[in-house]
Amino acid sequence: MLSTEINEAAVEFGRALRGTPAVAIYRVAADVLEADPVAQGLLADLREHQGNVARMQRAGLTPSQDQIGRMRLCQAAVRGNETIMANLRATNDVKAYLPTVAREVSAALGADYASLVAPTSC
Amino acid sequence: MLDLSTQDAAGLAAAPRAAEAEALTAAGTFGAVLRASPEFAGLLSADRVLAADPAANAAIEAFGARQAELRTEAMMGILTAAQSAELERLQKAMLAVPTVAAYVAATASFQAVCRETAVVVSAQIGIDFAANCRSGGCCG
Repeated sequence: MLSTEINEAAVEFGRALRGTPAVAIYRVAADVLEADPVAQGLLADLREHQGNVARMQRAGLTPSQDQIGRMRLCQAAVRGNETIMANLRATNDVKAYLPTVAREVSAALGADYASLVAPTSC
Repeated sequence: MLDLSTQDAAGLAAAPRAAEAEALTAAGTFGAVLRASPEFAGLLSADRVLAADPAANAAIEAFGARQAELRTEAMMGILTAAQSAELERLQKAMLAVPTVAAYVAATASFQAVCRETAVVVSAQIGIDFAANCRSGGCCG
C-alpha cells in the first residue's frame, strides 16, 4: 500500500505524462484502433496466420506455399491500413519517449527506477 | 498591427514543449518523493551495513566468482549436477549471512513500492510504464 505522498506524486507524474505529445498521440491512436473493426479484423487475421505457421514450424513441419502466401497477404493488408500504422508509429514514439522521463526519475531518486520496476521475467 | 497567425503558431509549438517540461518536473518530484520514503532509507541503510560486513562480502564474492565462471554452461543449460549443487550451496551460504538477507529484503521492499507506483502511472497513461521505461524495452 503506497503512502499518500508517494501515490499523489505518482498520479501527478502520470497526469503530466498524459499531457505530453507522445503519450497524448498514443492514447488517441490506441482509442482509434480499438474502435476500428476493419483494423481489428486485419490484426486478428494476421495473428491467426502467424500462429498457424509458427505452430507448424515448432512441430518440425514446413508451411505450404499457400499458407505462406496467405500470411504475406495479411501482412501487406496490415501494412496498408493507416489506423494500424498510425498506432504502430505512436507506440514506437511513446516507447522512445518514456525512457527519457524515467531517467529523470532515476536522477532524482539516485537509483535506476527502470531496473527496480522491470518485470520479473527480465 | 499584430500578426495573430504567427503568434498562434508560436503558441502551438510551445505547448508540447511546456507539457514535456512539466512532465520532467513531475518526474523529478516523483523521484525525490520516492527517495524520501522509509523503504528507500531502509535500502540505503542495509547497503551501508552490507558494505561494512567482510563476511558478507566474502560470501558474495565466492558466489559471484563461481557464477561468472559457469555463466556459459548455465546459459547453455549444460551445468552438471555437481556444478548446480555447488552454485546452490554458495548462494544459500550468501543468503544466510544476516546482512545479505537484510539487504535482499530491503531491496524487495523498495522494489514493491516502485512497482506499485508504476501501476499508478500506467493507469494514468494507458500503457505499461514498467515495461516501457527502459530503452529497448524492459530487457534492453
